[in-house]
Amino acid sequence: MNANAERYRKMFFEEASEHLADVEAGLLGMERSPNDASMLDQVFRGVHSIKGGAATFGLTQVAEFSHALENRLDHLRSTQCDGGAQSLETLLESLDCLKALVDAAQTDQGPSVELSERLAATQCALDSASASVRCGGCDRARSPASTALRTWHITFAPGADAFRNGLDPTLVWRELDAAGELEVRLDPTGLPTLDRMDPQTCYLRWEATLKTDWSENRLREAFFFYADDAELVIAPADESQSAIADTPVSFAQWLVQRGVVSPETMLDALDLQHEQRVPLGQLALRMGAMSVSQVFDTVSWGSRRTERFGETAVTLGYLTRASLAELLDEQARQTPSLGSILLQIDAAPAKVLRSELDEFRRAGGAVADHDQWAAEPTLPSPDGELASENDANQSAPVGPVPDASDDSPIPAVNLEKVKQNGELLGDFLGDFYEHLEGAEKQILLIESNATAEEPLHALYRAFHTMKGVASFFGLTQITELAHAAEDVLNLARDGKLHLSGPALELVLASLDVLRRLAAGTPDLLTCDESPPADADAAALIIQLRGVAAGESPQAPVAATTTCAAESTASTDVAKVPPSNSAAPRAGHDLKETVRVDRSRLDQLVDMIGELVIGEAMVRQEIGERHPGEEVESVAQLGRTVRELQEMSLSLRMVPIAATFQKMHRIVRDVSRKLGKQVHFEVRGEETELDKTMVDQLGDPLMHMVRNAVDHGIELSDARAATGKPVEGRVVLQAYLRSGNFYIELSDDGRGLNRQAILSKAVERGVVCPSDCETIADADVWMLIFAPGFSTAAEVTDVSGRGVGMDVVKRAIESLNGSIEIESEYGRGSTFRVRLPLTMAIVDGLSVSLADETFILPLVSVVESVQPRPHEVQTIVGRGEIVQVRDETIPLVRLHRVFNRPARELDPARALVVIVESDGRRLALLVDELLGQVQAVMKSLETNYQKVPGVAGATILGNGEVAFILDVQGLAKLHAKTQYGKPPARDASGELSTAKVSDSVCQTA
Amino acid sequence: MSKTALVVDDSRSLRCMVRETLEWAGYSVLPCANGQEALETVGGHAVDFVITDVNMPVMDGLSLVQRLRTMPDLEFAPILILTTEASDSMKNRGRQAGATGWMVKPFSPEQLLQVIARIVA
Repeated sequence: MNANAERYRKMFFEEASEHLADVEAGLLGMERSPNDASMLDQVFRGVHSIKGGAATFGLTQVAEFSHALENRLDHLRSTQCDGGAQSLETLLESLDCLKALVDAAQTDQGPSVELSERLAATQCALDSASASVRCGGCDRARSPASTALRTWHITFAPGADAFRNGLDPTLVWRELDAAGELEVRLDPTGLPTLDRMDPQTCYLRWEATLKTDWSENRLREAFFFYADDAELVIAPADESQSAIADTPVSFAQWLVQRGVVSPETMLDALDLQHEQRVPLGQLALRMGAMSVSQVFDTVSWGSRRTERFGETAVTLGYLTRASLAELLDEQARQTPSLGSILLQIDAAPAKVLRSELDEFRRAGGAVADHDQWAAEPTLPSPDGELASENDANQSAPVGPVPDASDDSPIPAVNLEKVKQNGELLGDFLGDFYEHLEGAEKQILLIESNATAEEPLHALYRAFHTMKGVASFFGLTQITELAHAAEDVLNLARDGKLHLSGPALELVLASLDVLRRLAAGTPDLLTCDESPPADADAAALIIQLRGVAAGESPQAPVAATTTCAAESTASTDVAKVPPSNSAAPRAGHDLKETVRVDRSRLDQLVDMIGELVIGEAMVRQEIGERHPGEEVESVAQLGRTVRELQEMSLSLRMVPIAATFQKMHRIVRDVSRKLGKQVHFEVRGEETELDKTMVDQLGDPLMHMVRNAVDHGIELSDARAATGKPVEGRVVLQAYLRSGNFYIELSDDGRGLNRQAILSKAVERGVVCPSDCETIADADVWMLIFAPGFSTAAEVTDVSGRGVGMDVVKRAIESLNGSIEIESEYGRGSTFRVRLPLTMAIVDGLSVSLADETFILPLVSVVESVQPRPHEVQTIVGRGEIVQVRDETIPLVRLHRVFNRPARELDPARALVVIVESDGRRLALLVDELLGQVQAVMKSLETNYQKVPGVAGATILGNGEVAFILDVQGLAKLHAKTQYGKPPARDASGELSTAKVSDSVCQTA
Repeated sequence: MSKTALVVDDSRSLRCMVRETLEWAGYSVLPCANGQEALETVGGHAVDFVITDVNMPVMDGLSLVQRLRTMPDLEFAPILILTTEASDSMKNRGRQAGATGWMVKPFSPEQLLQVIARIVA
């Protein structure tokens, strides 16, 4: 979310600079032609858009200031007076302030002291000029404060055209159903007989009663889209009056009842007050009451129509009641008082309001928070902006720097701004040149066909965009020039100017100058002071503005200089490599995503899997035909296929964040139910994993988290008694290590009780009493995953986890993963889940046993050695071991595990492959190493059944089937031969030969 | 099966905001930058409802709505127009073009969803 918000903000700034340019153009236009209402509209729209965007993206100060400016403009619009030169001066000054504010917001800095002073002064001027304040955007009635429960009688007929307009009238009732007790009756009298009925016409009519605390205004809003052609009566039912009398009268009601303010004006005022309220989430962030993720979480959880932010945050445990109350107080404090708003919109004189308030208080009226008559609230402090990271992550490549000749004049610029955006300049140039070329092409089209409209529009847009990007970079003169040309083109678009002859030449000349100016921009990065304005450009701007103002166009005055400049310009341009236009455009090439049906994606990945197999087959066949030769085309194919495969895998990778997110709620619910205090922390949520696995991890993780809180964390008293912090701590984290994905869940709770688990295990006959002393801790902990341990009451006795833990283990194993536990009694436990990154494809080492091929996952292969005879020994009670350097590693004879014949039984003459799983190493005895393969894993479980020691099967290049070994499973099979009693041979399957007893090993 | 919305707006930030809001609420979204693009998109996809800006290059929102209303699949589909003008004349022009509802910018994601709930079952 954070990243998204940041992305939107960037887009907003891009757009804002365009709007600002439009506003400026509009203001200048107003100066030139004071009677042209369209200019004022343009200015208004620009400011309005900025306000909307700023409010959406949490740039409070920008929003507030543009709101004030908008009010002033709206006032100008409604009174249709131009306000004179002084007014325009104020507006221009406001525009400069707004620009500075946007700039400040963009760099995440609060406005400077100087700017703040200017702001205050300007805002003051704006406010005093606005005799009446009414914003254009808040026409939509908003719910004023809830009133008491009332019963309403509603009659509603949607109108004949409702269906044809795409309306579904039943949705109204759905909305109102949420408002309170609703009873709806259909009035069938208007329905024609079936043969007369037109299916597209709406004949419906309803009568309803609704008992709700919604205001009439809010009820009417539900019928908003029907206003024109519907029959709608909303009237209070009779008994409602008494209900009102019971509730205390608010100041707003008081004023209306005393006739000081009309109900309509009061609604407007309440709307306006509501609009100016700081959103609670924003306030919580500002005051440090909640973290960004908590706010996001709350917004996400809050059912969007019924729950309110504050309530939701309290429910989620992010806010206490007391801090919510504090926040609400602060919100009320920062919201303009009703009195000040009424003053603002000239609803009543200050004196009257003041005396009414006194009267109201004397009458015992409770002054509700937001009705409080307070002094005008001060502007929020500069650090009141939403905190956001500095975007140091933008490191777009800097474009090549063309050297402009020393004597070439350089445009007037905002040097500071250019340098701020220096790293984006390469992208800017690429973009800019593209538009220049586009514009040139359009001009040629216009010359050949003067009546065509589309080239003119395209040309206009090209200049408009160039203007926008240049202003973004602070290239003032480029902006002005593009702007002036744009104005001329706008005239042409409106048919007020014929774009040919001198006018067209002017535009062409501006293109040339723009090109030259742009080529000089990279030098600015090394300049210390702002260069002088370009004379040619200045002359052109004056000419273009003249044309735009209605003068008849003349051939460019500076034609000769322009031509001369053109020749230098073309050399400059030639020095800019064309790669410029191909440079990635960070500002414009923002990631857009395409949603693809899951099954299609799976199909694609499957098919790429088949392609990998096919490629292996081709390679093998070609290899056989051209022995010892590396065929280039095949190698090339191999590389491409591999890249394709990697890409296909990354397609399915998604962050684990969504799954982790849900755990917050579980911790909260469980801890609340049990009366425990738990601090839950999540790390590494951005780690990516195959989507299929992310989906399937939800359930097991939920079990684990619930268990950690339920059985791991102690009650506060117990914690305090053992000297632990009262608040328990549960940490969930994800990370990647050596090609695997890990999830770790740690708590600082009571830990697992070895003795209790063992005695339970002995009682159940899972463990021999005699083995109790020798079993390693890690193996004891694994006992809690046994299905027998999972019945609740007994598990609580052993202070262990266990509710559903067998389910957890099964789920994780089905994802080819494993789980292990570290625990210290009294100190806490850590559950570690290891998962492969993807289940689809395995990088493997193929080995042979006699004439069969097996595949070992490459991630677990450490090395392969041929041990010397004395390095292989047999230890009584432990089986065979191999000495590799200083390490002794248990030897596993694979042919015995799988009951296959072996070509070579002597390890000193065969090979051992050292594999590692979960920190445990095994030496696997094999006949031969065949090579590295990419295996598309097909599950045995879905097609046959789960086989210990085997992860799956695959089809080799030659069409044979090979098993992919599960190293962890092999380790377990081997481990069983250590503590388990030598199992009786069962006849159920060949694979049970894995349980080879030590004695057999020794005789081998 | 989630409903699919066609979201048409030339402002990228607004398009993204609308889009992510809708996706968060469980709708599928087909984003387009102008009316022309929207018409091309509609040809290849099933669309349950449409949200469109009015002022756009190439083809504006009102022309788009008129064109959509001539298509059998979208003849009665809910179409919401987003506009910066709150005036009645704007609403009337929207209605005449065939829009189901309108929404005045700026708006918050919550307001958007609330209005959508009013026109989309």
